[in-house]
Amino acid sequence: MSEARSPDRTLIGAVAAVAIIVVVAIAVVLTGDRVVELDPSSPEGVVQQYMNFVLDGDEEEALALTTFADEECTRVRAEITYQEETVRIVLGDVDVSGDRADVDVTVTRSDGDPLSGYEWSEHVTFELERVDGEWKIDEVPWPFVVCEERFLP
Amino acid sequence: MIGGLWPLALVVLLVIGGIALARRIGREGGGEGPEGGTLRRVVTTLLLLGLLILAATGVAQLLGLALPGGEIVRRGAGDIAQALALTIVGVPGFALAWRYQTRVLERPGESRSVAWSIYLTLVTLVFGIGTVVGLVNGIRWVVGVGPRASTALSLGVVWGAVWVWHVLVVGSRFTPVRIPEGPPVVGSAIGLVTATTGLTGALGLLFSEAYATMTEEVALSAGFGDEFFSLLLWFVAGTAVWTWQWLGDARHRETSVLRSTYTLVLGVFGGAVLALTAVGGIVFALLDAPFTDADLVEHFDVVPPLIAGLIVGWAVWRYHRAVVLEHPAVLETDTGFAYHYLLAGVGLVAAAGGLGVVVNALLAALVPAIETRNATRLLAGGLAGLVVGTPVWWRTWRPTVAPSEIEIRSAARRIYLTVLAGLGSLVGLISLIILMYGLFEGVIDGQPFETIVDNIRAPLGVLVGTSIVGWYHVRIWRSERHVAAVEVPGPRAITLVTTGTAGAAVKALEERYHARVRVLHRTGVEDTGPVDADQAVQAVEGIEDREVLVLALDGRIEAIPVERV
Repeated sequence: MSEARSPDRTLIGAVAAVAIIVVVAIAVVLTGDRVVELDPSSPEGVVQQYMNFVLDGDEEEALALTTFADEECTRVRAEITYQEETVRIVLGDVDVSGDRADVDVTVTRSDGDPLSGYEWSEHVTFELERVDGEWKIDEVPWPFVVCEERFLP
Repeated sequence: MIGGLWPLALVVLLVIGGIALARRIGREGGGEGPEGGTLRRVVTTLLLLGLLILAATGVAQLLGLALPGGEIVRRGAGDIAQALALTIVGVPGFALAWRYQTRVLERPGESRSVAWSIYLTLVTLVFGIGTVVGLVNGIRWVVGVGPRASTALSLGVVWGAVWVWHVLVVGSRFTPVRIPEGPPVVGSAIGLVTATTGLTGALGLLFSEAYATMTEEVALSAGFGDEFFSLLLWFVAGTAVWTWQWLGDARHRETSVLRSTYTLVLGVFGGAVLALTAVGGIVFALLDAPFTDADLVEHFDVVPPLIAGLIVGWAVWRYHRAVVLEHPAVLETDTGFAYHYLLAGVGLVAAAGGLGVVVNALLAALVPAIETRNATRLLAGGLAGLVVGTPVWWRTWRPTVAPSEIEIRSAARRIYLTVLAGLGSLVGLISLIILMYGLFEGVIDGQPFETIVDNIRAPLGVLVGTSIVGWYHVRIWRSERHVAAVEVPGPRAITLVTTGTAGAAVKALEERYHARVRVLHRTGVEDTGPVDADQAVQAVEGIEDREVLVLALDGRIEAIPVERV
């Protein structure tokens, strides 16, 4: 009877689908080192270096990549480093016009209950300026800010 | 000063008006129709409960002010005035309403009303919670581990006295006939939740301290003793209430919808969710350990409280499993099926949710990022859900075992499949809308492909999880449709006329014939004890008509097939 067998086939189909997804996911996540290294002299490359320094807690190195490296300001830990859980940053649009560039990134973070897989994302923009042929960050978006009140005398 | 009296005057007016209304309706009650009786009962029930709360609160506040260390010096006139006003209005008001109520309750049939049972159940709900919270906070104050709480202590004592009086004296003098298990089941629920929360917290704290002491060689943290004692106190208070209300009462009552809801939803489902969430957290910590950037000692510090949750949840679950499946015959009834479907549902949601997160993690890994931290966390979380949910689902749904015809036709299975279909469609549709939104936003905005995939991976994961679950259950439902739709000859509606209590017989008839059972009591005869359930089932046996009248009078049971003309 085909009807009696149909639930079994359904079960095999469902189990197979789940098994394939799980195996592929484990393989891809564990083998793929999908962090791309950008050209360090490009605007997006400078942004990548800046974020790397900030996430490693190296605020001084990060500041050196900005146009306001020599100005007085209150050093703070970037808000993003308070996040001890998952952080993923994906490059968006890069818009270069003359000596100015806008670099969009999507920041996805998660915390709390790992079983729920809850995440949230935000799109932020770095503004860069070319100073003496080198790209420097002129405007840092909020979760990466390490230098507050930089216009204080 | 005068302005502050207006709310009080309003309360007094309400109470006087309520009493007058109740008396008037009561006087007209001689020839009242059923609606008039219901309205009167609802009004008097609410009035009685309201006055009881006012009176008990007033007396408790007065007592609290008189206790050594009471707030009399600190707060002053306002508190005394309020306590006096509540007492002076509440106590005589309740006494009047209570005198009226006892006269009414002595009329035949009155303690059969649902309103009376609801009143006693609400008293247990309100005063049970008030007693436990008041006594625990009061004792914490007295032994010096909690803030000043003289009012809480007196509230616990006074409300406790009111509660005990209602359970022991009022409840036994005017035993409700409809839903008699209401008060003890609600009392058991208060005890179980309090005891479980307290024990989970206390053990969790103890295990965390032990872990910290072992790994970091630090002495006990400040305040540990006080917090531990407080949690232990909640556990003791909850256990006392549960022992009294469950072991001493509700445990020995016949199963009913309310009692089964308590054992299945709070005991089985609540215990299982507590235990399985804890196992999920532990599995996650283990899976993620090789990849975490954090120090391992710190990484595993979430585990000790989870072990506490696992132990307590497991014990609660297994105990109530034993209660629900006490008689092996239950396995082939709706209650037995409901037990397995509840757990199957828990396992399925955990597994399907986990699968969605795994898909999400897969897509995340496919999109090239320029920076990641703890990227394997997502995958580990998803796998933990799958690893915990799948065995629970497999063992309770038993996908490789063909269900019996009784099971296929059971209401529990139809409800399970329908709820899954409804919930699944809803979740699927919502995730589809979120997915479409992300997709269109990305395309219209001209975002790069990677950003778009990154935006939609979470809803896509949920959609994949719900689709596989939905597809599987739709196939099951369709393969069973021809069995479930077959008309079984036999009664659909049974009317039982009796002079006794019919709870067990009604349940037996419902389970055997899957028919709607209505009970009519013969008037003018004292309760003749329970109707024999087996005899009632036997009397109906073999009748193929749609409607049956069962007469259980004078110890004899007779079934008469009838039809509407």
